[in-house]
Amino acid sequence: MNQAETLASLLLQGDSAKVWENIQKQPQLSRLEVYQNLITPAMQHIGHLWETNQITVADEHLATATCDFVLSKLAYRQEKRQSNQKAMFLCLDGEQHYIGLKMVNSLFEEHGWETKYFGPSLPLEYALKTAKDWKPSVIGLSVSIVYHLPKLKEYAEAFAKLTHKPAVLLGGRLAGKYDLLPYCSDHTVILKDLPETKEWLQNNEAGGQQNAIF
Amino acid sequence: MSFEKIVNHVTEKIYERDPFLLERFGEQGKEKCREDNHHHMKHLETAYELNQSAFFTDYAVWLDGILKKHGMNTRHLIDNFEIIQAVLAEDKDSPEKAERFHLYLAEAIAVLKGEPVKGGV
Repeated sequence: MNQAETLASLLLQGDSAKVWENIQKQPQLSRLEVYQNLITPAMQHIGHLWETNQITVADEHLATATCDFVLSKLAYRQEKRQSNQKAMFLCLDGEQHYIGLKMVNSLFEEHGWETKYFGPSLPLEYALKTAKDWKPSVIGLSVSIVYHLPKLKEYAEAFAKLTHKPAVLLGGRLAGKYDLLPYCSDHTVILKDLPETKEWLQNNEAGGQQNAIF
Repeated sequence: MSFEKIVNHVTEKIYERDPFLLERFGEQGKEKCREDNHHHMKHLETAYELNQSAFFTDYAVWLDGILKKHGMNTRHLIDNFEIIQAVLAEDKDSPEKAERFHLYLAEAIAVLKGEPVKGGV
């Protein structure tokens, strides 16, 4: 059993303590590496087990709930951060796959951003209201299921019209599978995976430093 | 185009054609059949709205893999798609859309049969 399969089996047992212990066995891993090399392949393996009729929807939900708890524990800090850099993260209306988005939110927090993370399925009108009131400089969207895609354009266009001009980032399973640019606004940035997200954060920091110099 | 009406009509036709299905899977199976057909329609709608047949053909291949693991064979899915085509042919409200759905279904059927696909959009 490889590392992902072992972690998947612990997630499927719903045993968050054992999952935590398993992750802590590799203290040298960065947060990104834990997400990219351990949790993502474990959750993908769970998807494969469901597709091949080896586990049920109930098993998959238990694993997701356990994963959610462990992600919260990994990212837990006692005080809510206050920062000039603000980002909000949401899944398109109807989209229930939020684990990737939660990891992206945590990477932003790790880089010093103040964030609002809305979890699964946020209808556009509510997302738009928060975006107008709170004025985040980044809005991150996630989409994993094909039949939620028709709504993508509507979201991307609505956010592109915001007067404070936030950067719109798009991720999720489909971002790595299809060219989604035709369904976005001109300024949407597509991030295929977590390493690309990290790279975007680093470039953004480098750009910010340059602006501070000039 | 009413998906509800099409899905109900398709499900009835599937069960009419093969009464043994009701015996084997019961009412619960019929409900699942209805759910599956709602998913087919949602994927057809996505392919139509985004003008990209791959969204439907990829779904068909993925679903076929799952159904096989549940003891079905590819023929079941092809039959289901052919029945949708037949029901769509009776849809007079949105002929352009029905025609495009028909093409996506034909392309998916060809892929499931392992035939070469011409002129995919």
